[in-house]
Amino acid sequence: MTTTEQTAATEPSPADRTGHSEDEQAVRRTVTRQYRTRRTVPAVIVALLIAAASIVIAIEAISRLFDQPLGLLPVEALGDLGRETQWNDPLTVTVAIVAILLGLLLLVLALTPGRVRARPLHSARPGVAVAVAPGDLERLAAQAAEAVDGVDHARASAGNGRVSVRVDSPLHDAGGLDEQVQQAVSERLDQLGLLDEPQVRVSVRHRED
Amino acid sequence: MNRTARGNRIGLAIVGVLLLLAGVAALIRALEVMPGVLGSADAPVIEQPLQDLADQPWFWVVLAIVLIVIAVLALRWIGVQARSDAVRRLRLESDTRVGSISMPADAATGALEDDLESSPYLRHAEAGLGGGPSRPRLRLSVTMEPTAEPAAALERTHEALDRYQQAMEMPDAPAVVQLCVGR
Repeated sequence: MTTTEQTAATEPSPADRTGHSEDEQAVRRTVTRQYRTRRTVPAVIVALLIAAASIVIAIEAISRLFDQPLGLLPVEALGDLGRETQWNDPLTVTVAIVAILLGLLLLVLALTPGRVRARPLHSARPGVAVAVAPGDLERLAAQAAEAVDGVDHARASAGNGRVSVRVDSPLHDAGGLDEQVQQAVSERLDQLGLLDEPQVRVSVRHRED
Repeated sequence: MNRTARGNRIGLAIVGVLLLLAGVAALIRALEVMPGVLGSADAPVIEQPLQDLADQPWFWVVLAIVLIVIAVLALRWIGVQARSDAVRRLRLESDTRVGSISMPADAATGALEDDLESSPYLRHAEAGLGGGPSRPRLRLSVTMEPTAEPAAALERTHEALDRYQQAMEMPDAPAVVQLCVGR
């Protein structure tokens, strides 16, 4: 089976960009506060490493106080290494560079806002903020595409301000299918009422032989 | 930003700055940029003064104490990740002169969940309350059936929210709703 691709895309809509009402702003703020990454994963990794290292070294230090070294760490070997290695040794320089890079990475994680894992929707009620996660947006788009006649399978990915849908079709003549899919997906997403309406892109793979 | 998120960022920043400073100091010494301040690049990493220090028994006592404090702080940092502002009891009467009436939060959120799950458009609902007990924020997650129209699912969710707010006599209680799509 050879395949060809055809694509259709909506124009980005300039509407809704200017008239940000106060309610809309409140919804955006609430959703951002609620769904902004809390940096839980890096925090737990760093905390676990620090805790594990501190405990092991502390136990080793205490066991040495009582003259019964447990040997959890190769203290003598590390001591010899420290006495033999100069500051300008490649090993020291490498360790220093690794520490600098790690430090910069942690600072970037601490200081950049990070992703908001949900997109705000128009809300009919004041005080009520509704949001949808990118994964659910993708599922909704793929389901809408698969409901179109002549579509075998669809996959969607929600990116920055757009939703891309890839469609597989068993049809030999898939002319116009891309536009049908694009319309079906746009209608489905319109119903959600996303505050930032995404551009919908469709690409179709179909049989050629 | 909530307390845990702020704490995580402060913690990551502190560790990041310490690593960065240590790395830069070691690199400056290795490249002999400021030999007058940091010492010569040809010197071993562990020098005699440090060796003498390590031969003192109190050095290991101090080291162990400092490390135990750091370990406790790090474990506490992990512990607060599970912290939540969940409200377990709702205060219905805030006038303390007539006494206080409260109910379990589960009773209110359970009724809302049942209301939502009775809809043909919605498959599953999970509600929780957070914030203060007199004006709690509702956190709601609803999963719609894959065949349902999103507009209908959202409309049904808003109707259930209206009924909940009326029943609770909190007409404009704040709520955050996450709409999920079933497989």
